[in-house]
Amino acid sequence: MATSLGQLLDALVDSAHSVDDGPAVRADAATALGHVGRALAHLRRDGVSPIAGDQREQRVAALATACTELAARAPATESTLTRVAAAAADTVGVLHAQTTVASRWAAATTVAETVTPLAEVIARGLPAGPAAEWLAEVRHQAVLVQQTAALQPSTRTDAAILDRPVPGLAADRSVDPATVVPDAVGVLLRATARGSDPPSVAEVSAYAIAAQTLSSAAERLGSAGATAAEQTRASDAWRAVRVALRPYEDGSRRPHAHAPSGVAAAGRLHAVLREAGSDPATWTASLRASVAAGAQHLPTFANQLLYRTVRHWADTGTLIGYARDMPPRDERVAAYLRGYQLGGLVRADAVDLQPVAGALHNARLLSLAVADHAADPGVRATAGFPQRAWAANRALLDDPQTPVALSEARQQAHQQLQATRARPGPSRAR
Amino acid sequence: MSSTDNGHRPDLLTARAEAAALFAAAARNEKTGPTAQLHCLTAATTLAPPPGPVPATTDSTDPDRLIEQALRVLGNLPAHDFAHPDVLSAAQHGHRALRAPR
Repeated sequence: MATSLGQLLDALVDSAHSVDDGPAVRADAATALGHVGRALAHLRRDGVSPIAGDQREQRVAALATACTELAARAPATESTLTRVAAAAADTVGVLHAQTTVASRWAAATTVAETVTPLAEVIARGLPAGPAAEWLAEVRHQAVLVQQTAALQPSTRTDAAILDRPVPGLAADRSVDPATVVPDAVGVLLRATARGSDPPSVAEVSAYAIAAQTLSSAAERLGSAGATAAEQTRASDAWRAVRVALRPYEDGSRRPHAHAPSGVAAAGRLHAVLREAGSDPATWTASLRASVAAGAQHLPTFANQLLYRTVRHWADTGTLIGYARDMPPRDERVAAYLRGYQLGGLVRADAVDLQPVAGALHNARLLSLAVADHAADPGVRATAGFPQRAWAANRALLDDPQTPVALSEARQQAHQQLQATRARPGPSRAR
Repeated sequence: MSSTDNGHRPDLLTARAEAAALFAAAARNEKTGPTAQLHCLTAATTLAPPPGPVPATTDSTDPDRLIEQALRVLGNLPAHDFAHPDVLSAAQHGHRALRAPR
Protein backbone atom coordinates (compact mmCIF):
# COMPACT_ATOMS: atom_id res chain seq x y z
CA MET A 1 0.00 0.00 0.00
CA ALA A 2 1.23 3.49 -0.83
CA THR A 3 2.46 5.76 1.92
CA SER A 4 4.18 9.13 2.09
CA LEU A 5 7.08 10.67 3.98
CA GLY A 6 4.71 13.01 5.80
CA GLN A 7 2.51 10.12 6.99
CA LEU A 8 5.54 8.20 8.27
CA LEU A 9 6.98 11.21 10.12
CA ASP A 10 3.59 12.00 11.69
CA ALA A 11 3.31 8.34 12.76
CA LEU A 12 6.82 8.50 14.24
CA VAL A 13 6.00 11.58 16.35
CA ASP A 14 2.64 10.10 17.46
CA SER A 15 4.31 6.82 18.43
CA ALA A 16 7.07 8.63 20.35
CA HIS A 17 4.43 10.52 22.34
CA SER A 18 2.44 7.38 23.17
CA VAL A 19 5.09 4.77 24.04
CA ASP A 20 5.60 3.61 27.63
CA ASP A 21 8.86 4.02 29.47
CA GLY A 22 11.36 1.18 29.67
CA PRO A 23 14.87 0.16 28.61
CA ALA A 24 13.62 -1.59 25.45
CA VAL A 25 11.57 1.45 24.40
CA ARG A 26 14.53 3.75 25.02
CA ALA A 27 16.78 1.50 22.94
CA ASP A 28 14.12 1.45 20.21
CA ALA A 29 13.97 5.27 20.20
CA ALA A 30 17.77 5.53 20.03
CA THR A 31 17.91 3.09 17.10
CA ALA A 32 15.13 5.08 15.44
CA LEU A 33 17.26 8.22 15.83
CA GLY A 34 19.98 6.42 13.86
CA HIS A 35 17.58 6.10 10.94
CA VAL A 36 16.55 9.74 11.35
CA GLY A 37 20.27 10.56 11.09
CA ARG A 38 20.47 8.42 7.94
CA ALA A 39 17.55 10.36 6.40
CA LEU A 40 19.15 13.70 7.28
CA ALA A 41 22.54 12.61 5.92
CA HIS A 42 20.85 11.57 2.65
CA LEU A 43 19.08 14.92 2.34
CA ARG A 44 22.26 16.83 3.12
CA ARG A 45 24.25 14.81 0.57
CA ASP A 46 21.67 15.61 -2.12
CA GLY A 47 21.70 19.27 -1.04
CA VAL A 48 19.43 21.25 1.27
CA SER A 49 20.71 24.67 0.28
CA PRO A 50 21.42 26.44 -3.01
CA ILE A 51 24.78 27.49 -1.55
CA ALA A 52 27.07 24.56 -0.79
CA GLY A 53 28.30 24.39 2.80
CA ASP A 54 26.08 27.15 4.17
CA GLN A 55 24.37 27.18 7.57
CA ARG A 56 21.49 24.91 6.51
CA GLU A 57 23.86 22.20 5.31
CA GLN A 58 26.18 22.52 8.31
CA ARG A 59 23.34 22.22 10.79
CA VAL A 60 21.64 19.31 9.06
CA ALA A 61 25.02 17.55 8.81
CA ALA A 62 25.75 18.14 12.51
CA LEU A 63 22.33 16.82 13.52
CA ALA A 64 22.75 13.75 11.28
CA THR A 65 26.14 13.01 12.87
CA ALA A 66 24.83 13.44 16.42
CA CYS A 67 21.87 11.10 15.74
CA THR A 68 24.16 8.47 14.21
CA GLU A 69 26.64 8.67 17.10
CA LEU A 70 23.87 8.33 19.69
CA ALA A 71 22.35 5.32 17.89
CA ALA A 72 25.78 3.67 17.76
CA ARG A 73 25.82 3.71 21.58
CA ALA A 74 22.35 2.16 21.96
CA PRO A 75 21.66 -1.58 22.36
CA ALA A 76 20.69 -3.13 19.02
CA THR A 77 16.93 -3.47 18.92
CA GLU A 78 14.09 -3.00 16.48
CA SER A 79 10.51 -2.23 17.35
CA THR A 80 7.79 0.19 16.25
CA LEU A 81 9.79 3.43 16.41
CA THR A 82 12.76 1.92 14.58
CA ARG A 83 10.60 0.37 11.87
CA VAL A 84 8.73 3.63 11.18
CA ALA A 85 11.93 5.70 11.22
CA ALA A 86 13.66 3.20 8.91
CA ALA A 87 10.72 3.36 6.49
CA ALA A 88 10.89 7.18 6.56
CA ALA A 89 14.64 7.12 5.86
CA ASP A 90 14.12 4.66 2.99
CA THR A 91 11.33 6.89 1.62
CA VAL A 92 13.73 9.85 1.54
CA GLY A 93 15.96 7.73 -0.70
CA VAL A 94 13.07 6.61 -2.91
CA LEU A 95 11.92 10.21 -3.40
CA HIS A 96 15.43 11.35 -4.36
CA ALA A 97 14.66 11.91 -8.06
CA GLN A 98 11.46 13.84 -7.28
CA THR A 99 13.08 16.35 -4.93
CA THR A 100 14.54 19.81 -5.37
CA VAL A 101 16.83 21.76 -3.04
CA ALA A 102 13.83 23.60 -1.58
CA SER A 103 11.74 20.46 -1.09
CA ARG A 104 14.70 18.68 0.54
CA TRP A 105 15.00 21.57 2.99
CA ALA A 106 11.27 21.24 3.76
CA ALA A 107 11.76 17.50 4.30
CA ALA A 108 14.87 18.03 6.48
CA THR A 109 13.09 20.49 8.78
CA THR A 110 10.15 18.10 9.18
CA VAL A 111 12.51 15.18 9.86
CA ALA A 112 14.30 17.36 12.45
CA GLU A 113 10.96 17.94 14.22
CA THR A 114 10.80 14.21 15.01
CA VAL A 115 14.11 14.35 16.89
CA THR A 116 12.86 16.16 20.02
CA PRO A 117 10.05 13.67 20.87
CA LEU A 118 12.40 10.73 20.27
CA ALA A 119 15.07 12.37 22.43
CA GLU A 120 12.51 12.81 25.22
CA VAL A 121 11.81 9.07 25.19
CA ILE A 122 15.54 8.30 25.55
CA ALA A 123 16.17 10.94 28.23
CA ARG A 124 13.69 9.41 30.72
CA GLY A 125 16.25 7.07 32.27
CA LEU A 126 19.56 7.63 30.60
CA PRO A 127 22.52 7.55 33.02
CA ALA A 128 25.39 10.03 32.65
CA GLY A 129 28.00 8.97 30.13
CA PRO A 130 28.87 9.26 26.44
CA ALA A 131 25.32 8.42 25.32
CA ALA A 132 23.89 11.18 27.53
CA GLU A 133 26.41 13.62 26.09
CA TRP A 134 25.43 12.69 22.56
CA LEU A 135 21.76 12.99 23.50
CA ALA A 136 22.38 16.57 24.69
CA GLU A 137 24.16 17.24 21.40
CA VAL A 138 21.24 15.74 19.42
CA ARG A 139 18.78 18.01 21.23
CA HIS A 140 20.98 21.06 20.73
CA GLN A 141 21.48 20.40 17.01
CA ALA A 142 17.75 19.70 16.50
CA VAL A 143 16.98 23.11 17.99
CA LEU A 144 19.53 24.77 15.70
CA VAL A 145 18.01 23.17 12.57
CA GLN A 146 14.54 24.30 13.65
CA GLN A 147 15.87 27.78 14.40
CA THR A 148 17.34 27.99 10.91
CA ALA A 149 13.99 26.78 9.56
CA ALA A 150 12.23 29.59 11.46
CA LEU A 151 14.46 32.11 9.67
CA GLN A 152 14.13 30.37 6.28
CA PRO A 153 10.70 28.68 6.29
CA SER A 154 9.58 26.43 3.43
CA THR A 155 6.69 27.28 1.14
CA ARG A 156 3.56 25.21 0.58
CA THR A 157 4.89 24.11 -2.80
CA ASP A 158 8.14 22.84 -1.23
CA ALA A 159 6.34 21.00 1.56
CA ALA A 160 4.11 19.13 -0.92
CA ILE A 161 6.93 16.55 -1.27
CA LEU A 162 5.87 15.25 2.16
CA ASP A 163 2.57 14.06 0.66
CA ARG A 164 4.08 12.45 -2.46
CA PRO A 165 2.78 8.85 -2.57
CA VAL A 166 5.42 6.14 -2.47
CA PRO A 167 4.12 2.83 -3.84
CA GLY A 168 4.26 -0.36 -1.81
CA LEU A 169 6.03 -3.53 -2.86
CA ALA A 170 4.88 -5.13 -6.13
CA ALA A 171 4.32 -8.45 -4.32
CA ASP A 172 1.89 -6.77 -1.89
CA ARG A 173 -0.25 -5.13 -4.57
CA SER A 174 -3.90 -5.22 -3.65
CA VAL A 175 -6.85 -5.44 -6.03
CA ASP A 176 -8.87 -3.05 -3.87
CA PRO A 177 -9.45 0.01 -6.12
CA ALA A 178 -8.97 2.35 -3.15
CA THR A 179 -5.46 0.92 -2.72
CA VAL A 180 -4.64 0.62 -6.42
CA VAL A 181 -5.17 4.33 -7.12
CA PRO A 182 -2.55 5.81 -4.71
CA ASP A 183 -0.16 2.96 -5.47
CA ALA A 184 -0.39 3.58 -9.23
CA VAL A 185 -0.08 7.35 -8.80
CA GLY A 186 3.09 6.75 -6.77
CA VAL A 187 4.54 4.55 -9.53
CA LEU A 188 3.68 7.11 -12.24
CA LEU A 189 5.28 9.95 -10.27
CA ARG A 190 8.42 7.90 -9.78
CA ALA A 191 8.53 6.80 -13.43
CA THR A 192 8.49 10.41 -14.62
CA ALA A 193 10.79 11.86 -11.96
CA ARG A 194 14.15 11.20 -13.57
CA GLY A 195 15.16 13.68 -16.25
CA SER A 196 18.18 11.61 -17.24
CA ASP A 197 16.32 8.37 -17.99
CA PRO A 198 12.94 9.48 -19.31
CA PRO A 199 10.08 7.20 -20.35
CA SER A 200 9.44 6.44 -24.03
CA VAL A 201 6.66 7.93 -26.15
CA ALA A 202 4.63 4.73 -25.77
CA GLU A 203 5.01 4.86 -21.98
CA VAL A 204 3.98 8.51 -21.79
CA SER A 205 0.94 7.74 -23.95
CA ALA A 206 -0.06 5.04 -21.45
CA TYR A 207 0.51 7.43 -18.55
CA ALA A 208 -1.66 10.06 -20.26
CA ILE A 209 -4.49 7.51 -20.54
CA ALA A 210 -4.24 6.84 -16.80
CA ALA A 211 -4.18 10.58 -16.06
CA GLN A 212 -7.20 11.07 -18.32
CA THR A 213 -9.12 8.30 -16.52
CA LEU A 214 -8.17 9.61 -13.07
CA SER A 215 -9.09 13.20 -13.90
CA SER A 216 -12.36 12.05 -15.48
CA ALA A 217 -13.18 10.19 -12.24
CA ALA A 218 -12.19 13.22 -10.14
CA GLU A 219 -14.36 15.50 -12.28
CA ARG A 220 -17.40 13.43 -11.34
CA LEU A 221 -16.71 13.95 -7.63
CA GLY A 222 -17.83 17.04 -5.74
CA SER A 223 -20.89 19.18 -6.15
CA ALA A 224 -19.98 21.25 -9.21
CA GLY A 225 -19.97 18.33 -11.66
CA ALA A 226 -22.52 19.93 -13.94
CA THR A 227 -20.51 23.13 -14.22
CA ALA A 228 -17.31 21.25 -14.94
CA ALA A 229 -19.01 19.11 -17.58
CA GLU A 230 -19.91 22.16 -19.63
CA GLN A 231 -16.30 23.29 -19.93
CA THR A 232 -13.20 21.73 -21.37
CA ARG A 233 -11.97 19.56 -18.57
CA ALA A 234 -8.70 18.12 -17.36
CA SER A 235 -9.60 14.75 -18.90
CA ASP A 236 -9.94 16.48 -22.29
CA ALA A 237 -6.58 18.16 -21.75
CA TRP A 238 -4.94 14.79 -21.03
CA ARG A 239 -6.57 13.39 -24.16
CA ALA A 240 -5.09 16.33 -26.04
CA VAL A 241 -1.66 15.33 -24.70
CA ARG A 242 -2.04 11.91 -26.32
CA VAL A 243 -3.17 13.54 -29.57
CA ALA A 244 -0.15 15.88 -29.48
CA LEU A 245 2.17 12.87 -29.05
CA ARG A 246 0.91 11.08 -32.18
CA PRO A 247 3.40 12.48 -34.73
CA TYR A 248 6.46 11.52 -32.65
CA GLU A 249 8.22 8.20 -32.72
CA ASP A 250 11.12 6.64 -30.85
CA GLY A 251 10.69 3.00 -31.80
CA SER A 252 8.77 2.20 -28.62
CA ARG A 253 5.38 1.82 -30.31
CA ARG A 254 5.71 -1.91 -30.90
CA PRO A 255 4.80 -5.07 -28.99
CA HIS A 256 6.93 -5.55 -25.85
CA ALA A 257 7.53 -8.83 -24.02
CA HIS A 258 6.99 -7.16 -20.64
CA ALA A 259 5.23 -3.93 -19.74
CA PRO A 260 7.41 -1.48 -17.78
CA SER A 261 6.24 -0.95 -14.19
CA GLY A 262 4.82 2.49 -15.03
CA VAL A 263 2.73 1.13 -17.91
CA ALA A 264 1.48 -1.75 -15.75
CA ALA A 265 0.50 0.75 -13.04
CA ALA A 266 -1.26 2.95 -15.60
CA GLY A 267 -3.15 -0.11 -16.84
CA ARG A 268 -4.19 -1.07 -13.31
CA LEU A 269 -5.38 2.45 -12.53
CA HIS A 270 -7.39 2.64 -15.75
CA ALA A 271 -8.91 -0.82 -15.24
CA VAL A 272 -10.05 -0.33 -11.63
CA LEU A 273 -11.62 3.06 -12.34
CA ARG A 274 -13.42 1.72 -15.42
CA GLU A 275 -14.72 -1.24 -13.42
CA ALA A 276 -15.84 1.03 -10.58
CA GLY A 277 -18.47 2.57 -12.86
CA SER A 278 -19.17 6.15 -13.84
CA ASP A 279 -21.33 7.16 -10.88
CA PRO A 280 -19.26 8.07 -7.80
CA ALA A 281 -22.35 7.51 -5.64
CA THR A 282 -21.88 3.76 -6.21
CA TRP A 283 -18.21 3.86 -5.15
CA THR A 284 -16.99 3.09 -1.66
CA ALA A 285 -16.09 6.09 0.49
CA SER A 286 -12.46 4.97 0.46
CA LEU A 287 -12.39 4.92 -3.36
CA ARG A 288 -13.86 8.43 -3.51
CA ALA A 289 -11.19 9.58 -1.06
CA SER A 290 -8.46 7.80 -3.07
CA VAL A 291 -9.54 9.41 -6.33
CA ALA A 292 -9.66 12.87 -4.74
CA ALA A 293 -6.25 12.27 -3.13
CA GLY A 294 -4.73 10.92 -6.36
CA ALA A 295 -6.01 13.94 -8.30
CA GLN A 296 -3.96 16.22 -6.03
CA HIS A 297 -0.80 14.81 -7.64
CA LEU A 298 -1.86 15.24 -11.29
CA PRO A 299 -0.40 18.79 -11.57
CA THR A 300 2.98 17.51 -10.31
CA PHE A 301 2.75 14.59 -12.73
CA ALA A 302 2.15 16.99 -15.66
CA ASN A 303 4.98 19.18 -14.41
CA GLN A 304 7.43 16.29 -14.36
CA LEU A 305 6.41 15.19 -17.86
CA LEU A 306 6.83 18.75 -19.10
CA TYR A 307 10.06 19.76 -17.41
CA ARG A 308 11.86 16.42 -17.25
CA THR A 309 10.59 14.05 -19.94
CA VAL A 310 9.78 16.42 -22.81
CA ARG A 311 12.77 18.62 -22.01
CA HIS A 312 15.05 15.56 -22.19
CA TRP A 313 13.48 14.50 -25.50
CA ALA A 314 14.06 18.00 -26.86
CA ASP A 315 17.65 18.26 -25.58
CA THR A 316 18.74 14.86 -26.85
CA GLY A 317 16.74 14.68 -30.09
CA THR A 318 15.43 11.25 -29.11
CA LEU A 319 12.25 11.51 -31.17
CA ILE A 320 11.75 11.55 -34.92
CA GLY A 321 8.69 12.32 -37.01
CA TYR A 322 7.54 13.51 -40.40
CA ALA A 323 8.13 17.21 -41.00
CA ARG A 324 4.61 17.30 -42.44
CA ASP A 325 3.14 16.46 -38.99
CA MET A 326 5.21 19.02 -37.10
CA PRO A 327 4.84 22.79 -36.75
CA PRO A 328 5.80 24.36 -40.13
CA ARG A 329 9.33 25.83 -40.27
CA ASP A 330 11.28 27.49 -43.08
CA GLU A 331 14.28 25.19 -42.69
CA ARG A 332 12.05 22.12 -43.01
CA VAL A 333 10.51 22.95 -46.42
CA ALA A 334 12.43 20.23 -48.28
CA ALA A 335 11.56 17.56 -45.72
CA TYR A 336 7.96 18.80 -45.70
CA LEU A 337 7.68 18.45 -49.47
CA ARG A 338 9.00 14.89 -49.34
CA GLY A 339 5.82 14.03 -47.41
CA TYR A 340 5.47 10.65 -45.74
CA GLN A 341 8.63 9.24 -47.31
CA LEU A 342 11.86 8.33 -45.60
CA GLY A 343 13.33 11.71 -46.60
CA GLY A 344 10.46 13.47 -44.87
CA LEU A 345 11.59 12.27 -41.45
CA VAL A 346 13.26 14.79 -39.15
CA ARG A 347 14.65 14.69 -35.63
CA ALA A 348 12.34 16.58 -33.26
CA ASP A 349 13.86 19.47 -31.31
CA ALA A 350 12.35 21.83 -28.72
CA VAL A 351 10.45 23.84 -31.35
CA ASP A 352 8.99 20.67 -32.90
CA LEU A 353 7.86 19.50 -29.47
CA GLN A 354 6.00 22.72 -28.67
CA PRO A 355 2.56 21.14 -29.28
CA VAL A 356 3.34 18.45 -26.68
CA ALA A 357 4.72 21.02 -24.22
CA GLY A 358 1.65 23.21 -24.77
CA ALA A 359 -0.74 20.29 -24.25
CA LEU A 360 1.04 19.32 -21.01
CA HIS A 361 0.97 22.93 -19.80
CA ASN A 362 -2.81 22.96 -20.37
CA ALA A 363 -3.19 19.56 -18.67
CA ARG A 364 -1.27 20.85 -15.65
CA LEU A 365 -3.45 23.92 -15.24
CA LEU A 366 -6.74 22.06 -15.77
CA SER A 367 -5.53 19.31 -13.39
CA LEU A 368 -5.06 22.00 -10.73
CA ALA A 369 -8.69 22.98 -11.20
CA VAL A 370 -10.00 19.40 -11.07
CA ALA A 371 -7.84 18.60 -8.02
CA ASP A 372 -9.40 21.51 -6.16
CA HIS A 373 -12.87 20.59 -7.43
CA ALA A 374 -12.53 17.01 -6.12
CA ALA A 375 -11.26 18.08 -2.69
CA ASP A 376 -14.58 18.85 -1.02
CA PRO A 377 -14.54 19.38 2.77
CA GLY A 378 -15.78 15.84 3.47
CA VAL A 379 -12.95 14.26 1.48
CA ARG A 380 -10.37 16.61 2.96
CA ALA A 381 -11.31 15.44 6.44
CA THR A 382 -10.44 11.79 5.64
CA ALA A 383 -7.26 10.31 7.07
CA GLY A 384 -4.41 10.26 4.61
CA PHE A 385 -5.75 13.07 2.39
CA PRO A 386 -2.68 14.93 1.07
CA GLN A 387 -3.40 18.25 2.77
CA ARG A 388 0.02 19.68 1.90
CA ALA A 389 -0.31 18.82 -1.80
CA TRP A 390 -3.80 20.37 -1.86
CA ALA A 391 -2.45 23.46 -0.08
CA ALA A 392 0.27 23.75 -2.74
CA ASN A 393 -2.35 23.44 -5.50
CA ARG A 394 -4.52 26.07 -3.82
CA ALA A 395 -1.56 28.42 -3.57
CA LEU A 396 -1.08 28.16 -7.34
CA LEU A 397 -4.81 28.63 -8.00
CA ASP A 398 -4.82 31.73 -5.77
CA ASP A 399 -2.12 33.34 -7.92
CA PRO A 400 -3.77 36.37 -9.59
CA GLN A 401 -2.51 35.25 -13.03
CA THR A 402 -3.92 31.73 -12.81
CA PRO A 403 -7.57 32.44 -13.80
CA VAL A 404 -6.46 33.97 -17.12
CA ALA A 405 -3.99 31.12 -17.74
CA LEU A 406 -6.70 28.60 -16.89
CA SER A 407 -9.14 30.16 -19.30
CA GLU A 408 -6.50 30.13 -22.07
CA ALA A 409 -5.66 26.50 -21.27
CA ARG A 410 -9.34 25.52 -21.59
CA GLN A 411 -9.59 27.31 -24.92
CA GLN A 412 -6.40 25.77 -26.32
CA ALA A 413 -7.25 22.23 -25.20
CA HIS A 414 -10.69 22.62 -26.76
CA GLN A 415 -9.21 23.91 -30.04
CA GLN A 416 -6.69 21.07 -30.12
CA LEU A 417 -9.42 18.45 -29.77
CA GLN A 418 -11.65 20.22 -32.30
CA ALA A 419 -8.79 20.17 -34.81
CA THR A 420 -8.38 16.43 -34.23
CA ARG A 421 -12.09 15.81 -34.76
CA ALA A 422 -11.92 17.77 -38.00
CA ARG A 423 -9.15 15.43 -39.20
CA PRO A 424 -9.82 12.09 -37.54
CA GLY A 425 -7.24 9.32 -37.41
CA PRO A 426 -3.52 9.38 -38.19
CA SER A 427 -2.51 11.15 -41.36
CA ARG A 428 -0.52 8.18 -42.58
CA ALA A 429 -0.31 4.45 -42.19
CA ARG A 430 1.65 3.31 -39.13
CA MET B 1 16.45 29.36 38.90
CA SER B 2 18.06 32.55 37.67
CA SER B 3 16.29 35.30 35.75
CA THR B 4 18.15 34.30 32.58
CA ASP B 5 16.79 30.78 32.31
CA ASN B 6 13.20 31.12 33.41
CA GLY B 7 11.92 32.78 30.26
CA HIS B 8 11.13 36.11 32.02
CA ARG B 9 13.92 38.35 30.72
CA PRO B 10 12.47 41.62 29.34
CA ASP B 11 13.94 41.17 25.84
CA LEU B 12 12.68 37.59 25.65
CA LEU B 13 9.25 38.63 26.91
CA THR B 14 9.10 41.39 24.30
CA ALA B 15 10.03 38.96 21.51
CA ARG B 16 7.48 36.40 22.68
CA ALA B 17 4.77 39.06 22.92
CA GLU B 18 5.63 40.37 19.46
CA ALA B 19 5.55 36.88 17.92
CA ALA B 20 2.32 36.03 19.74
CA ALA B 21 0.67 39.22 18.44
CA LEU B 22 1.74 38.38 14.89
CA PHE B 23 0.42 34.81 15.18
CA ALA B 24 -2.84 36.14 16.65
CA ALA B 25 -3.18 38.66 13.82
CA ALA B 26 -2.60 35.88 11.26
CA ALA B 27 -5.19 33.70 13.04
CA ARG B 28 -7.93 36.29 12.68
CA ASN B 29 -7.04 37.26 9.11
CA GLU B 30 -9.89 36.38 6.76
CA LYS B 31 -7.44 34.98 4.18
CA THR B 32 -6.17 32.35 6.63
CA GLY B 33 -7.63 28.86 6.23
CA PRO B 34 -9.21 27.06 9.23
CA THR B 35 -6.26 24.69 9.79
CA ALA B 36 -3.75 27.52 9.61
CA GLN B 37 -5.93 29.57 11.97
CA LEU B 38 -5.84 26.76 14.52
CA HIS B 39 -2.06 26.47 14.29
CA CYS B 40 -1.66 30.24 14.62
CA LEU B 41 -3.95 30.37 17.65
CA THR B 42 -2.07 27.50 19.26
CA ALA B 43 1.25 29.21 18.56
CA ALA B 44 -0.03 32.50 19.97
CA THR B 45 -1.41 30.95 23.16
CA THR B 46 1.66 28.73 23.62
CA LEU B 47 3.78 31.84 23.81
CA ALA B 48 1.58 33.10 26.67
CA PRO B 49 1.12 36.64 25.40
CA PRO B 50 0.30 39.47 27.80
CA PRO B 51 -3.46 40.02 28.21
CA GLY B 52 -5.02 42.73 26.08
CA PRO B 53 -6.21 43.33 22.52
CA VAL B 54 -4.02 42.45 19.56
CA PRO B 55 -2.97 45.56 17.60
CA ALA B 56 -5.10 45.93 14.46
CA THR B 57 -2.38 47.53 12.36
CA THR B 58 -1.35 44.23 10.81
CA ASP B 59 -4.79 43.09 9.68
CA SER B 60 -4.34 44.07 6.03
CA THR B 61 -1.07 42.18 5.68
CA ASP B 62 -0.91 38.78 3.97
CA PRO B 63 -1.20 36.17 6.74
CA ASP B 64 1.76 34.19 5.42
CA ARG B 65 3.95 37.29 5.82
CA LEU B 66 2.70 37.69 9.41
CA ILE B 67 3.56 34.08 10.22
CA GLU B 68 6.98 34.40 8.56
CA GLN B 69 7.58 37.58 10.55
CA ALA B 70 6.61 35.82 13.79
CA LEU B 71 8.94 32.92 12.94
CA ARG B 72 11.72 35.40 12.20
CA VAL B 73 11.23 37.04 15.62
CA LEU B 74 11.51 33.63 17.29
CA GLY B 75 14.36 32.50 15.02
CA ASN B 76 16.43 35.54 15.96
CA LEU B 77 16.34 34.65 19.66
CA PRO B 78 19.52 33.20 21.16
CA ALA B 79 19.63 29.42 20.68
CA HIS B 80 19.02 28.65 24.37
CA ASP B 81 15.88 30.82 24.33
CA PHE B 82 14.67 29.28 21.09
CA ALA B 83 15.17 25.85 22.72
CA HIS B 84 12.51 26.68 25.33
CA PRO B 85 9.69 24.13 24.78
CA ASP B 86 7.05 26.86 24.37
CA VAL B 87 9.06 28.71 21.75
CA LEU B 88 9.97 25.51 19.89
CA SER B 89 6.37 24.37 19.90
CA ALA B 90 5.14 27.79 18.67
CA ALA B 91 7.69 27.70 15.84
CA GLN B 92 6.51 24.21 14.83
CA HIS B 93 2.89 25.39 14.76
CA GLY B 94 4.01 28.37 12.68
CA HIS B 95 5.60 26.01 10.14
CA ARG B 96 2.45 23.90 10.00
CA ALA B 97 0.34 27.03 9.47
CA LEU B 98 2.54 27.98 6.52
CA ARG B 99 2.01 24.51 5.01
CA ALA B 100 -1.74 24.43 5.63
CA PRO B 101 -4.20 25.48 2.89
CA ARG B 102 -5.22 29.14 2.67
